[in-house]
Amino acid sequence: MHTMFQIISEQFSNYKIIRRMAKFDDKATYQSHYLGLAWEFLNPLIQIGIYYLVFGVALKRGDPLPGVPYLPWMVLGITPWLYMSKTVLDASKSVYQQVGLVSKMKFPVSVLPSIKISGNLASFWTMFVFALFLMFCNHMVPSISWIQFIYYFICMIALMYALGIFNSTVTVLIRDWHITLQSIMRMLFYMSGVLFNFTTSNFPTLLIRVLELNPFYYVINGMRESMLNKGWVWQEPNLTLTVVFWMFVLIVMVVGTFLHNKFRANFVDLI
Amino acid sequence: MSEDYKIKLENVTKEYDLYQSKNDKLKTFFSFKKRKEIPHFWSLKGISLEVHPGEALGVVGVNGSGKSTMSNIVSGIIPQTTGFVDVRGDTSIVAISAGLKWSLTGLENIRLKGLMQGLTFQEIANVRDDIIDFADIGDFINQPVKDYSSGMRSRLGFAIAVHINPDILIIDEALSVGDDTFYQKCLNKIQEFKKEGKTIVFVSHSLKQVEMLCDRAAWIHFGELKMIGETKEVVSAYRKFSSDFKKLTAAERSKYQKDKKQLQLDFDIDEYEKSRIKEEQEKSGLGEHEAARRIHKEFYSEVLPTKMTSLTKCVIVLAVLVMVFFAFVTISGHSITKSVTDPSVLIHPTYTKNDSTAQQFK
Repeated sequence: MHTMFQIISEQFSNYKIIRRMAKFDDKATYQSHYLGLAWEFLNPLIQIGIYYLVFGVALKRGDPLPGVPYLPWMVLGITPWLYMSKTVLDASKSVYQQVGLVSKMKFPVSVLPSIKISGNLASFWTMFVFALFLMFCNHMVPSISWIQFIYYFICMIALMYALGIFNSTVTVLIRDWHITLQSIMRMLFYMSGVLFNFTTSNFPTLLIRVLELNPFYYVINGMRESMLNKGWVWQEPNLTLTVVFWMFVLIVMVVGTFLHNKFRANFVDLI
Repeated sequence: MSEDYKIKLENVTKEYDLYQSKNDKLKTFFSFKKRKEIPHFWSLKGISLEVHPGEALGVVGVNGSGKSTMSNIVSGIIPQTTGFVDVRGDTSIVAISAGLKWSLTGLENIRLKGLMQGLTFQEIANVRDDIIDFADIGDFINQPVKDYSSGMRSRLGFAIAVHINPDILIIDEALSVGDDTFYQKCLNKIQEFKKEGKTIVFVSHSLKQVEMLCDRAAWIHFGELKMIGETKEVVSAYRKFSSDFKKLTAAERSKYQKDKKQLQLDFDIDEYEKSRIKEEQEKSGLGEHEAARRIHKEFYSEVLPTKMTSLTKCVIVLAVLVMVFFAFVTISGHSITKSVTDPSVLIHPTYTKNDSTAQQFK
């Protein structure tokens, strides 16, 4: 437990380094591209375009929630999803990629996942503004339930860091883990209700409830509900889901920080 | 010993696990207990020393005696297994393999390393030209580091490390690669550092360099601190040892090394702790219990546990139980109060959507 608090406090004491490194990362990644940072937004836009054509126009799923058109609904969900899936995969590689460098200097290794988490936020906010724009185009106005968004945003960051510290350590130890994660994320994409609302579909009730336990669904659905003014955290089934979500984060965080601390001295030898 | 120090090590040990195969590694990964059958090698067997402000400490010793391990612990790259380490100030380490990213250009490496040491973009821009000048790399600065010669690489590494303005500079055999011109440049820079009152830890095989640069020297011998004191004394003692050692026959030499290594394998941390407790008792006249507590605190208070504490285990088990319970509550579709008062309903789920969900999708 002590280890966990120590590692979390390292994130806050090094937040300046995290911010600057994230900036450097962004520049370095897109420096050899003509369109540069624009790719961060072009990529998701193309993806959204395709999903809209397939699910919104061709398959005509109708309104996923009463009174909410498909496009803003989908974009509100796909924004956190794209951020989370990219961050989970990036963070899992983060230690492995930098190990040669950090083994030769004094550097808090535990902030490496945080750098990815904060670096990817830029495209998250741009997409989010795009989602807001779509909402206004569809005559949806701000409501009091928007403040819940702050809570769900904290949930998202906590989930990302817990998974980040755990996955990055395991990826160093077992290289296959990163590939496994890729498959898991691809599968979760269809099970997190990003493209279609499974709670209003014809799925059996029990299956829906099992799918709702997914922590990614908790964040995505939470952000949607708060932005579209469709429910509160303390209403059922959100209340029990909240407990499940935070317990999941706690377990992953405790185990992840423990493993990270146990192996951080040997990261170099392990590769 | 005075309280005024820059670096203080007390009873510092470092243990390495010698895995025989990939399988072994995986097993330790999944078991939370310490496994006895894997051989443990003690690279440091309890080192206590102090470095004062403005001092240059030379560290000498034969290959594999733990010099680099010690300098890595001081610079905070690796944690100690037990013991107390206090470093007052920012450290910067220069090692042979300079820790550069090979795919990035020299300039990007300067930026990256600067950022990682906590410099701002502005500060990096200020020292950038100095670094390029010092490293004498010229037009190669925009080429990827993988195209550099080994000399250029180590020059760049050294230049970056000295220009990010640390209080404590740790040099780990980094001067042996450059040519004479660069070597002279480094010496000047190190002298300049000393004049500014900064602390230097200088690990080297070259006794001449140590004699020239250092005020004091420490001789580390197979994980133990054999001697620390005035440079002259330590260096001459070490010289004597090396020349005696060279006179031995090859068989005697390898036997000597083997015996020493075996001692490092057999080292028992609990035995060491007991011996330290005895010393403490004699020194301070404390009761056995009190002395044991003090030493144990010194050994382990700084170190994050590598074994899971029982508190952590309890928290995990509790969290799993709570999570499973609430997962079942969700799946069964009953309310929380009903599930608590009558847990048997958890295995008889309702198939209607509950009120608030229904309301939500009305």
